[in-house]
Amino acid sequence: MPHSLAAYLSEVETGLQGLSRQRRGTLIRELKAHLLDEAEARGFVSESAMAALLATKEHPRLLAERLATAEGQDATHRGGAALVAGMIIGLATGGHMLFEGWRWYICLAFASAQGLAVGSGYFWVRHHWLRLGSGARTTLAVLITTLLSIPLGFTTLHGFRATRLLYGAFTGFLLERHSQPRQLWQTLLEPALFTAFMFLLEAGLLGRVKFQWWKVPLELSFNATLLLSVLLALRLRRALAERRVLQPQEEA
Amino acid sequence: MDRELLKGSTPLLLLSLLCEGPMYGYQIIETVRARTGGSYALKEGALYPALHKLEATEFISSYWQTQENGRERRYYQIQPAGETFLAAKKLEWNQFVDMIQVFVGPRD
Repeated sequence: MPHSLAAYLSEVETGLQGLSRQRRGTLIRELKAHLLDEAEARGFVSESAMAALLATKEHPRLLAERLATAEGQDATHRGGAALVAGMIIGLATGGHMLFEGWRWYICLAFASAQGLAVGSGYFWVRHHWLRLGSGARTTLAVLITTLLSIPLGFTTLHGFRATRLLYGAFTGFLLERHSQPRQLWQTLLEPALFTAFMFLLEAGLLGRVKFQWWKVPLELSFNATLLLSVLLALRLRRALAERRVLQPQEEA
Repeated sequence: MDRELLKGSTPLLLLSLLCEGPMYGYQIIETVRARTGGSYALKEGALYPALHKLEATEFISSYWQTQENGRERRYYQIQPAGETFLAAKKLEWNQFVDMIQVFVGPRD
């Protein structure tokens, strides 16, 4: 790498000290690739030509300041949007449990785990698998939200209950599938199928609860509430993203 | 050209370009320069924050690709959410242009 380019990048990197080492590395790697692309396209191969090219560029400290300012705003947006969207899911499901008559601390624990761990956690990591196909994205979302929902397993009066993790998995499924437009019949069928599956598992296979008809509307309405909160969270997150994109970039 | 007019439209311009296919930073700058006859010169300090902002909102995604000469490039690719957003904004943009033209008149 030409010395002048190394010096330029080093000065930019100094200005990015507030960022994480990984993020800083990515930005420098990208900038280096960009400048080498430009030098190559313009036929600048010598050290002096590279120095001349860099002299036409923004001052490295100014560039670093612009990049760092934008990074800070992006992180605030990403974290804030994930938190708000997760809170909607947590409040809706915890609120429904309160309505069902669960003890307040169980509702609070469920809402926190479902909203903060599963909802916000999912939104926080989702960008890592955006380029994958639809099936792979859904599988990953279900796996990750199942892991994130481990705290949900403890939101009972009888210790850890593994079937609670299925609510986390279902949340991940809904979040990923509804990130794209979905048919109305599919939307309506999802909570109904999941309700049937939960009864089959808990009352049929595991024999842990006794099947009673009056429990069906309660479970169904809980899963429908979860679906509605997911749709609302996604819509809100989309609105926040649009607002952020249309916001003019603030000068450093 | 007035920079204030351009500031808010950079994300839409980038999304429109990425609709044509994945692009890397220098390619975007060159394409914009060529298509505007040099009247809009994007600088790195404006391009990358705008691209990273679009990535943070999941309207685009990025990936690294190694070239035959061993060098790397970071490509940006539009996502379905970005396409939906762009389609809606294109409509609004055309309505806005039509409205302004009522007052300032069409291009000479």
